[in-house]
Amino acid sequence: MLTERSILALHHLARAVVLGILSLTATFMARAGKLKLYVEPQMILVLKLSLLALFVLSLFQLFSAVQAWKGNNVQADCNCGGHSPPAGISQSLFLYALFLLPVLLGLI
Amino acid sequence: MQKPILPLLTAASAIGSGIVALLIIRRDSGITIEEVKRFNVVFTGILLEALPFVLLGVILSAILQVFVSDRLIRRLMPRHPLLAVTVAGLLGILFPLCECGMIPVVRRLIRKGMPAYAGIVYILAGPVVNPVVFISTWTAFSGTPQMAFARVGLAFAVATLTGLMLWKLLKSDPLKVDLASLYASLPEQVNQPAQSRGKEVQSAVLHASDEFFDMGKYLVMGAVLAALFQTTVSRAFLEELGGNQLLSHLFLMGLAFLLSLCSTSDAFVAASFSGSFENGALLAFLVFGPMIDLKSTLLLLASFRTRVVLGIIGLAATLALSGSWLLEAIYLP
Repeated sequence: MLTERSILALHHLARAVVLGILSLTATFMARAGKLKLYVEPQMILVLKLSLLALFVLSLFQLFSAVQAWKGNNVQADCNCGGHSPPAGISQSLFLYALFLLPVLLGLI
Repeated sequence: MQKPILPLLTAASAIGSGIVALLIIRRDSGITIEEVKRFNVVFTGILLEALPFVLLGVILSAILQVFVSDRLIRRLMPRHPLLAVTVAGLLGILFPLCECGMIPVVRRLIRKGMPAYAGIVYILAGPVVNPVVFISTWTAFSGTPQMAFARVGLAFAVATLTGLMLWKLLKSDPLKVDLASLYASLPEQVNQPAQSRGKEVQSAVLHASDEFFDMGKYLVMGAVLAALFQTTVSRAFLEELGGNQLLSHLFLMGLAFLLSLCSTSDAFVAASFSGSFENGALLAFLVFGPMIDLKSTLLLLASFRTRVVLGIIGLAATLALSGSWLLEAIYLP
């Protein structure tokens, strides 16, 4: 039986993992010198900075996961009505799998 | 959420059968490893190029959502309709909100007395007439800087013309009356406890990463489609399509509607099509897509009356089509 609180915590955790994997994979690509196959040379520095930002966001989601687990609500109150996590488990899995697709394809 | 194991199994079997299907297709259609690699280069290229701009847009928009009040935007609005439409068209330069954040904000502003036509101009122009989108278009089309100017200029023209027509045509309240919008008409921050600076920053960062997932899913799906399109669709078909001006404009506008890409990243998808399509058709994609797409239509329908939404879509589509045609003839290389 999952409570509302632990579901929210799991969502933050999943987002932390996805963001972390994305930034680390791209960082490995950068170390292997593969980035220049994909982007213009003058954009590489900007891209590396955004990988750093991605990693920070990942840490932040991890922090939010812990907060949500403890019961502190850290939801952004922006009134957009669009940021709630997807309803069902299969929908959520699809969403997070979609973001890992580039990593999986990179393995081929 | 009684039995989480069942949907988990469904999802796992769906992914499994998808992989099997892909393997069978790969064996039977003779897709070579080279083709998979080519797909990968286009796909990963679009994602990596768009990433910095998506992040920048998402972070800016989160900062604005949390720190800028509706009151400030309302105070900037002039009374005179012509001036109001112009200011609303340029508001995106100061407040580059993302589309999904924009519609609820505008609904709230209209409820609080901002003229409806001006609000709609901001919804249409905001996603394009803003600095992040200009720089990303400039980067994506580094060989033809005219694209960035044409995109921003045409979007401004389409949005303000649509707004002026609505000013003439709109007689009644374009908003739907529902509980949510009634609630929105209440004075702001009635039920929000005062937050400390630290909490606000925390809320902004969280908002940014949530929005990254919102925008990102459209980008990943768009990049898959664009890459598939370029590795599978035959040259002959593309040449025929690209050769017909009206068809290629309409095709790319329809594609933009379906893909629902975020305006900070769609230029990279468009640039990947530049071998097959003329610049005018790409411009139609870049101007119409951020204004009207599947996602924003749903959001618009949730706030505005259906007839008003259909009117906005019709006006924006006609103006974007004719404008991009005109610019192709007189300005674009």
